[in-house]
Amino acid sequence: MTEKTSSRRTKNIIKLIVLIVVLAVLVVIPIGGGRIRMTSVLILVFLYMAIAQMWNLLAGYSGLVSLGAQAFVGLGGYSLAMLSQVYGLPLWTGFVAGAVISVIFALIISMPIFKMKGVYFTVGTWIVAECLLVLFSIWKFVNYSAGYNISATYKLTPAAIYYVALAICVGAIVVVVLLLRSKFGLSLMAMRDNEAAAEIRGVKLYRTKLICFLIASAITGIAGAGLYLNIAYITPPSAFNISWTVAMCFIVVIGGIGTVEGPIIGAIIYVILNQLLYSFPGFSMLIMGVIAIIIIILAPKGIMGVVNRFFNVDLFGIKRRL
Amino acid sequence: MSEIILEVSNLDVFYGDLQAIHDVSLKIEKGSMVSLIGANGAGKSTLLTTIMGVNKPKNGKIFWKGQDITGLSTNKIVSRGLTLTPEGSHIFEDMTVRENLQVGSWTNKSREAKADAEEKVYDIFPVLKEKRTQLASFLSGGQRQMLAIGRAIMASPEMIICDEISLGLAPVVIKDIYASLRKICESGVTFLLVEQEVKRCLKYTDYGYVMVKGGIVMEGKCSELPEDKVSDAYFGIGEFA
Amino acid sequence: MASIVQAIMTGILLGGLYALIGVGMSLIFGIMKITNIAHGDLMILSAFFTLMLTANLFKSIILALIVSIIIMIVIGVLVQKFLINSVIDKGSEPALLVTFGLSIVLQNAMILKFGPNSQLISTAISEVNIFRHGQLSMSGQYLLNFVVAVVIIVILTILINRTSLGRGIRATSNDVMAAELMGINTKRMYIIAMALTMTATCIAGLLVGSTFVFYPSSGTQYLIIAFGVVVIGGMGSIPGTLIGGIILGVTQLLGASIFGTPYQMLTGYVVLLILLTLRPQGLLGKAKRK
Repeated sequence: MTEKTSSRRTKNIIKLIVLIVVLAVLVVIPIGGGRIRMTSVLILVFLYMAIAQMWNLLAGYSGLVSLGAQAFVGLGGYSLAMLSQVYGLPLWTGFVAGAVISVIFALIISMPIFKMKGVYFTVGTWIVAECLLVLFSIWKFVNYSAGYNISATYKLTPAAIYYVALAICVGAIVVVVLLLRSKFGLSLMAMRDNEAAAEIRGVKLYRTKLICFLIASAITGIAGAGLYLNIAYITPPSAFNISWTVAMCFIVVIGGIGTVEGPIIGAIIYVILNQLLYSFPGFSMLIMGVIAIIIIILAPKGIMGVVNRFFNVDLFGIKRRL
Repeated sequence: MSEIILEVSNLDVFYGDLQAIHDVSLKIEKGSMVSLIGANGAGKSTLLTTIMGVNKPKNGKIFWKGQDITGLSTNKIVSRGLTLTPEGSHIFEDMTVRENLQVGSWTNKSREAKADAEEKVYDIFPVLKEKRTQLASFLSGGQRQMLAIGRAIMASPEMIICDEISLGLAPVVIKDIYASLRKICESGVTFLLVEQEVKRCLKYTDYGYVMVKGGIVMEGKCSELPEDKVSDAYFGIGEFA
Repeated sequence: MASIVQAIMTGILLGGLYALIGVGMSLIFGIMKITNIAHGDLMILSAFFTLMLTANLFKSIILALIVSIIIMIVIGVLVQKFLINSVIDKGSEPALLVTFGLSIVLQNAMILKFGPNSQLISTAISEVNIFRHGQLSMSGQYLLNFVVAVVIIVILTILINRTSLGRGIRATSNDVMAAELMGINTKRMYIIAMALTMTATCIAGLLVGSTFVFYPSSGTQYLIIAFGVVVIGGMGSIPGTLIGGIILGVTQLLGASIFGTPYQMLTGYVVLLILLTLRPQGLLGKAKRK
């Protein structure tokens, strides 16, 4: 017993050391201004990792498969653009506003959307995002479909954007891990495994799902602001494009739905594949789609599912022991 | 001994690592009414679904009129003249009574054969004729079983397997249904009735098999099977413990 | 006032086209309980095939349509056999994600093959006006769309409700195991349903492609329309699609005529969301018993 505990403790210490080393390496990378290409690729990896974590929190843990997550990427991006460009406020206010507006919007649409079940929810969220796309294209307040240049970002160094992206990514993962390790996470997993049984045991389904939805919306909003900090130019068709959700979905499916490690691996693969096929636009999505279909049919639990069959990976101590 | 219509030899069926059927063999004579008696979980339904091609056996063979049908798909087995009325009737709720019967004659290609079969069903179960334009979901429990049997007859099968046909029905209704089955049997259809109730089986059928924990523990002519021994076997007590 | 009358009239005609777009999706949902996210993209793909065939191979648009129906049936059957049949027993999520993946693949394949530009299938009828009276007018194309849609929906309804094949399909959708026990090859019923869906979708593709300009990415927009039609009309109800289509079409055009053209799509979406909230099982759909 004590031996087991101590070996577990050793394992935990090793894990902690590995995580700290990885983090330290990531912090060091952009120092000195070199490694520009690596920095810019990692920025994308971090941001996609963050939004994919959020999509996974909903689809993989709460049973809420959404095709409308682009709504929050767009709201975050537009918060950043409007506050810095139109009102001349510092860039950080865009991130705060992105989170706040996303949560408020999520709260409002949760009222109708949460009445819908299964596929109705999925398509319902998509319609909501399409509404925003149409609305922003015809709304004078946001400069119609012309959008904005976010010129305050021009002065930022790649390293600055890099650290923002890293912070968002680490923050997103920490939130998910803490959430899943808490008592709340336990009810979440009970709910995922058997909704009816969980409800009988006192899990408040509606509240639990809503909290997840709000958290995911807030962080997707912040990450959306981060994405447009990097892109520096926003229009409704790009901000509210379904391709954001496509990316999240592919990352999660390829990496392994319902695991924290899955979106991490998936995001690295997704961004690298996109970079490799950069000169063949369209091809990367085509290949990604084919890979995703094959994975859903042959290995529905993704790369992590295959890995877990051989090694019991639990980097973040989320699995429960009896 | 007359012709054997269905033969199951040395069947083993597994669900994963769990063996549900142990070395089961059956021989059913053409034109007879045979019962398979066993408690809940004895493996009766697994045996039936395996005969019907839903599950695949690990070992053993199933012969229909001397031909090996092991591993054929359900719809192919049905089109050879062997059919099953599943537990809980499984009638098509969103369709009318008549449409249910029409679907039953799916494998029956000739128009006359279909019309004849329909007449035959109405003859045996007049209540179905009364209700033929109603949605099947409005039928009572007994009528559902009648429709399930009627639907099976529509394919002009040579043999019908009935899974737990009396489950949840009032005794008087069960008596009616068994009388109808005997009538159908006398017109040349072989029956295998799967039941939980020992007494009823011994009373209404010709030959009985008793199944316990996935294996056949006793068989014989119903008139010669002692009821107390069958009950012991059924409950796994006495010499069957 | 005239503009309202015009909006309602055109909305009804447009609704017919919408119903035809949605009918295939309803059929697939009815029998397989699957929402095909690639439905819109398959329709746009068929429009590209018909366009290419009329431009390069055939003079007759009907001939081109028939050939593209055949191609689309082959594609549909392949999709059914290799993608949908392999996930159909695993619940609704894998099927949703597979068809979503297929949608992305189709869109990008179309961009690569046909380019990102807008296309239009020109037909003799697109310019014809049936009548013009003061502020009111009726376009020949819209009327044709409506008539074709109604004819196809009536044919499909008769096929499903009155024929032996239709009973087989309904039995399969009602209870797969019992249908197998009737000797029905249920996987074949799925394939037949897919072929019927592809036929209707291909005809819808031609009509959409000759009424509006389309892009490789237009499928998304039509998927939402199809979904709306099916939701309003009741998932799986064939005649319901006609009512769903008309409600959606009239709402959109009334929205456009009251608030201005840019609000056409928005009104449709908002009404759809309201309906989804109030009656999650569709206006005409019955609540699922279980």
